[in-house]
Amino acid sequence: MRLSRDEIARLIPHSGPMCLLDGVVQWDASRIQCVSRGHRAADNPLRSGDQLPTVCGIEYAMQAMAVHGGLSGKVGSRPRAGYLASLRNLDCRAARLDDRDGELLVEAELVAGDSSHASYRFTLQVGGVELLSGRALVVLDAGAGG
Amino acid sequence: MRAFVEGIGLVGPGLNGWQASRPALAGDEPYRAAPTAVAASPLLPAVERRRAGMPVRLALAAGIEAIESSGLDAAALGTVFTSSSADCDNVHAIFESLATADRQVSPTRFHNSVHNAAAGYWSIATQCRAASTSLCAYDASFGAGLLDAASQVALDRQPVALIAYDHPYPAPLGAAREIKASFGVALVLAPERTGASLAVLEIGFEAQAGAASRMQDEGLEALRDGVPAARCLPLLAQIARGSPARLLLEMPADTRLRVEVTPCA
Repeated sequence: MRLSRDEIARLIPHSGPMCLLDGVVQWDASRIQCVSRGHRAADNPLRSGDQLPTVCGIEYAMQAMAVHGGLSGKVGSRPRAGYLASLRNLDCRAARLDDRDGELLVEAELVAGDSSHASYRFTLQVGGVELLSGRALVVLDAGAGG
Repeated sequence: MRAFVEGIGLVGPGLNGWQASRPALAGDEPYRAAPTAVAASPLLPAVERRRAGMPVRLALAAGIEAIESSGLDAAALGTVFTSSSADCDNVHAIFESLATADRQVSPTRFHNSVHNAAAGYWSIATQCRAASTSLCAYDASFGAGLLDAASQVALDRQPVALIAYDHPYPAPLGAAREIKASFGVALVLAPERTGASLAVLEIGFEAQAGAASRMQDEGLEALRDGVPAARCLPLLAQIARGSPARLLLEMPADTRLRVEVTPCA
């Protein structure tokens, strides 16, 4: 594991159970792969109606993007405010994330970005099966970090 | 993110088209409010023209004006529609039907009740099959639409038409959600400067809620404040004046869109 949960928590504004990722498996300047095991937990904060709907995977992907922003230096060490501006080509292949065995693996790839925005392609799989993919654009408050 | 404004369409109280409205927006002539005048689009077939309510007319009139001045082909242009409440008259009429004994809603009313009805009429009128998005974000609907359209332009490197429109609710709903006038605005945005470019926009996000830009003229400020789609007015005024400025427009969750506008000479 390249990065532990505690190290992740220092890079993103989320804390406690809302820090959803358990580790960074690998990353480089344009890509990140993170693992999470809490998707089947009864106390997962995103559970709704006694299940974890697949759309909640978007939040996992957003946190992976935020960690990548911190690691790649795009965002800097201090968490800056970001706003999810758009989601496109969202492909949801199952109703829920918590009904199959295995780790949740989320991958995000930086497509374009500068100090004011970052666009990523992401995929999310559970137990080796891809359940969600899409493209996200996050706009960053350039004022807070220079 | 950068986008060039290739065409503007405008219809509102005392605002009859972008060119005719420029002097009042620039402050060169007094602004005189008058009831919004807009006819059903001649591009619609007769049946759809009859069915199209005021909100659809606003969206089509503004959109067509902007695209005509951009010189682009409406049939090939992606669109972003944004409106706080879309067809408020239709909501009122459906509620009236539901309050009667037989509770029968007319098929046309039902057909017009979806938030993306304007996008549907648009594709009938223009034969456009390009991607279309319909948004709503209460008072921040214009800012949300501008961010979405600008991000498509910046990332996909293709022009997009942004069309924002709002129309008042009749009583009694109007007491709960007041939209003060009928207003439609459209901006054709493109990734590269062309001969038609009116201005260049540099768009960014601000998490802290600085005061949103306002209009100097009292009547135009009341319009800006009273209609979500009219939150575009400070941007239009700057382009009309031909002078650069840094503007703040409302975004959802009390954040701001920073728009640095530089008119093209």
